Amino acid sequence: MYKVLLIWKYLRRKLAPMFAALAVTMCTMMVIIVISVMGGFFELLSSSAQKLSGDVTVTAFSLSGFPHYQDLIDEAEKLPEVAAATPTIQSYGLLNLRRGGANGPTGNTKTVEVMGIEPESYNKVVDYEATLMWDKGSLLDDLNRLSDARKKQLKKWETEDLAEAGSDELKKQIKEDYAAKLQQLEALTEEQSTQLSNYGLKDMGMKLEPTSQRSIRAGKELPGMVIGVEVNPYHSRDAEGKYNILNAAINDNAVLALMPINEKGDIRGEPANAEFAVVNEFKSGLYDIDANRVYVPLSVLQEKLDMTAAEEYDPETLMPTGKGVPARVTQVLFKSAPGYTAEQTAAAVTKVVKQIERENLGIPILYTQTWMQMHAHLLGAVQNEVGLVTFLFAIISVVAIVMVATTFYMIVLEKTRDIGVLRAIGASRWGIMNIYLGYGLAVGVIGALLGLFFAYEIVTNLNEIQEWLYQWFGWRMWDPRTYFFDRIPDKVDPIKATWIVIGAIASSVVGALIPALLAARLNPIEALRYE
Amino acid sequence: MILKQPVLKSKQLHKHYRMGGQDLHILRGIDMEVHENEFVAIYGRSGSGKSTLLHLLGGLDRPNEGEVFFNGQEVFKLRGGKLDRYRNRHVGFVFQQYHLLPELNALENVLIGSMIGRSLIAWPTKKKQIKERAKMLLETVGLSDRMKHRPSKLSGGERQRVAIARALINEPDVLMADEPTGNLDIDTSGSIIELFQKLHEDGQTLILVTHDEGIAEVADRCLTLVQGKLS
Repeated sequence: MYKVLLIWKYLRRKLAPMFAALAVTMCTMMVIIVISVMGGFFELLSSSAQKLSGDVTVTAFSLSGFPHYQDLIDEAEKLPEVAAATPTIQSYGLLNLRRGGANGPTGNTKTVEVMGIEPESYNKVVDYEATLMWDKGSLLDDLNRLSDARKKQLKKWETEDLAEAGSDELKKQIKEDYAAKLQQLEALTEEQSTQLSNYGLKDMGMKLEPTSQRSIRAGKELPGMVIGVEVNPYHSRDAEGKYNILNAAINDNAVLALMPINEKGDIRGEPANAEFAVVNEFKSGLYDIDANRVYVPLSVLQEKLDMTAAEEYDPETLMPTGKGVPARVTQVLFKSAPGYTAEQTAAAVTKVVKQIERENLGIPILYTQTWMQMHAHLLGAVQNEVGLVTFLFAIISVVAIVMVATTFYMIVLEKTRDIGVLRAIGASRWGIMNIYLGYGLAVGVIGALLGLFFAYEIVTNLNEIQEWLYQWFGWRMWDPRTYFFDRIPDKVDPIKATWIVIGAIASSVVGALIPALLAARLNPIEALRYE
Repeated sequence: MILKQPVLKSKQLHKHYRMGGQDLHILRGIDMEVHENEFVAIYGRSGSGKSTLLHLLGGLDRPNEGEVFFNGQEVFKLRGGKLDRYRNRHVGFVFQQYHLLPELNALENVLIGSMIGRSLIAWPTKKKQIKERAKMLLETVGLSDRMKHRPSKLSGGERQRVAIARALINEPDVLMADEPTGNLDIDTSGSIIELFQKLHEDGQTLILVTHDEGIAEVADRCLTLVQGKLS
């Protein structure tokens, strides 16, 4: 009982342990913030990566692709582990984006990763629709934002003009003029809003088809293309990291130069050109993907890359051999059924792959990979970074232990005579040790809980804090123009936070251990004579 | 006639200290007995080993040779916290420097001795009773209006009274006072000695260490320590 009383009194009367508690608070806070932000960043990347590639991918790791993919899909979809499957072609090409249609000014040309997809089945496997950037809502939002900005500007001009106006008559005239302008603006916004409501941007992205008016304008049926938001050279993000729809490449002309490769891996001599109309843009959250990938219809890409089903010709006689060459894709993506992990699905799909390989001798070796394996290079790097930063901050947190140890050593020195008194009136060595260990525990609990509280408040308000810092000091710690996520991760993982708090408390007790042992080992007579 | 067993008895106590490479033989074979209800003064000059002898009798320090018996039980053979328990339950110390805990008020300083002997679970069941005793002791030593004062707010005499109350909280068999008036003025010293006399009259066994012949005279028996030996 006396230990509790003394710990309580020491906590209330001494300033030194409060500094030790502050060190524990700072270290706890620091580690929780770092782990929350870095962990959140890693989770954002992971979920984006998973959304992009489904749970499992079967690929030949060759641009020439592999045949019999439909058999693979049909068989795999019978498995309880598989919820959906979709064929895709992953290829590369040169993209020329041109504003104002085919006859527009010289466009921008860059290399891109071309993904041929069947949007409907692709959307069942990956979160394709959710990545599409522009829809009616975003157009209307932008329109309203623009309209509000214009109204504010009108109001400002009106105030300035009124301040300069001399006579009341002139003021009245100015007011009437601006009221009319405002009315015009509202009418225009209303009209544009009605027009935009009929504009099916999401549908176009989902079908990979432009509007009929666009094809009429082009004078031919054009397939649609969805480009990564960073593929579009005209975009630049605002200070909040947002893209402006006015810079979107929708309806722009896109010409792809592709290099067809036959089933044997031979590259055909001449590139194949294909013309598309951009129907939407996508943002997956992975910068590399968003800056390089474009989506086009699978059938169009198969045709351009000579990957459609065809009849085989004898290269010498140029006569049909009577054998068919099956259509090819470069990969098939699978989504796991609820309750199954990617690993379980991969194991089940691998069996089907083996069966297809046995039935179709000569097809390329196929590899089955989970989404984590597919993105191991990226996720592994970030995970290593998270681990390293956490380790570094954990080392810094040793400061807390040293701080507690130093503080408690000073306290033990200061309290030497009191320790002698306690021993004289019957306290055991174990009891003395427990006073200082309990004291360390109390300091640890106070420090760690305060650290948790502050870390929680900081992490959950990190974006608001950043906003405040930006407004007052013009400084952003996480510039959304530099990083690809608009918001700083702001979730505290309760399990990790609990472990950190436990670790901080344990550190504090460890810090108090040596001083506690020294206190326990004090000779009571020497302690009583201590000056 | 049956001789009553002494409460405290020492047998051939020797104590050496090493100081600056020299061996100081402080106690050279002390044999003494203290009986129940007895008031014994140990008188000697400064540095004669009085305090060392008191510390050995109270189990605070260990002798190099010899034994101390409490009610026939050899004190330094007590193991497993029993020596701590001996100091807590059977002996009460009063020091020259008072040695109160500065963070605690007078009442808490008195209570702490009782708390040490009780666990967290046992304490609440006895708390009320013990608190009453602590208040009664403080009233006895004349500090009923100073219970909530911390040591820094008390005078030397008042501090010593709190220390005496603390020493008495567990109703010790022997109260050991080491120069209890050494830091006090004559009047205050007188009142403290009167308090000891009153305690003795109430049946408390007392051992008082002093270098003041006048104070030593108030005891039933005075043992003089010269060059590490009792005379």
